[in-house]
Amino acid sequence: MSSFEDADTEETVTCLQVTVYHPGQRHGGMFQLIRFHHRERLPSSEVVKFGRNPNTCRYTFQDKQVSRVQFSVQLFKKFDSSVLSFEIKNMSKKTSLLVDSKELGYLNKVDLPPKCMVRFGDYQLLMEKEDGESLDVFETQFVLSPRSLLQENHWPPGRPVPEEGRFLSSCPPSASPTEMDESES
Amino acid sequence: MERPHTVLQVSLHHPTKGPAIFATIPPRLQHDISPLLVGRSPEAHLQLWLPNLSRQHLSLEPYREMGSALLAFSLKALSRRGCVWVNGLTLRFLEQVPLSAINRVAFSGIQMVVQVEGGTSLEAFVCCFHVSPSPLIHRLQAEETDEWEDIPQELPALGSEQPAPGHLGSLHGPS
Repeated sequence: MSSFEDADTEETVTCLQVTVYHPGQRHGGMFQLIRFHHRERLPSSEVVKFGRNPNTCRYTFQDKQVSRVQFSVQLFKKFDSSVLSFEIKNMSKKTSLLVDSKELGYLNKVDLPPKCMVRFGDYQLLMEKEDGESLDVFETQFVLSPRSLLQENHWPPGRPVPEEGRFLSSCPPSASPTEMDESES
Repeated sequence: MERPHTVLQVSLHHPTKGPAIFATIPPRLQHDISPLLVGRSPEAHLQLWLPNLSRQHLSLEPYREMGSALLAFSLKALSRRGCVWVNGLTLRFLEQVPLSAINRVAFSGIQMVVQVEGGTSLEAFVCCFHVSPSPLIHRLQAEETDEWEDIPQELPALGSEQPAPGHLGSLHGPS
């Protein structure tokens, strides 16, 4: 028998594709630690953290306005379902997270729709799930968008506000959000 | 002023191994808002020495329901070959369910009752562990799996035995 015949049947792998955009990305360097167009394979039980702290986050944004841990994403299965899903949890005490039009406060979590827009501050992340069979691993892939994803995908404008609700109505659209850091932690 | 922590009152029982397997468990454990891991691995926050327990068997994840100021918890099965019985549901790898105020959990022969006492702190939560000499769950309505060999499907009534902390009497699956 050939090695081809002996080989295990290949499983497809669930992939989370994340297309990112920030209006200051050309000069800000916030995505410099993200490896674009690279499929990274992760254990299915990993809680993937996004934020500013490279010691605790799998994916880091080089930006002091980003919380040490901004949000987390994990794979799970609904009870008695064969479909793998992702859920996202806001880990920032200061900044809310918009998942499409749903606003998440600190520690709120929701299932990620197969295609959705995640926003915090000026960050736009278009998250798209590619279904796969493997229960052992999943993959992530990042793509950098040269232009705003809100225009491209016809998402309504608007930015997430801090949980306290005292943001933006008094700020001009170009103003930077206040420091999002959980410095006390 | 420091806000009161959410407390998980966790009662544990193993029908055949005796209390020795729980000897390393502290009576009180304060944990941050990351998922609390239960398993055989040294990295597990609640480490139990059972041969059929996976290195990471399950996690208890704190989160907040939309519109609620209090912590809620979900339980996720992390064992590839085992499973976890939660309030009448048999969870397999990566399946998760939200916990309610009182929860009956069984895995690898261990019976566990988790009672959630709400607090307003969002920084951390506390687990208080009690080892029970008496069974906590009297009837498991779960599918047979290779992991349930040492969990009696139906235990005799306690009779004159004193109920242990967290003891919930004869428990049945969901109605």
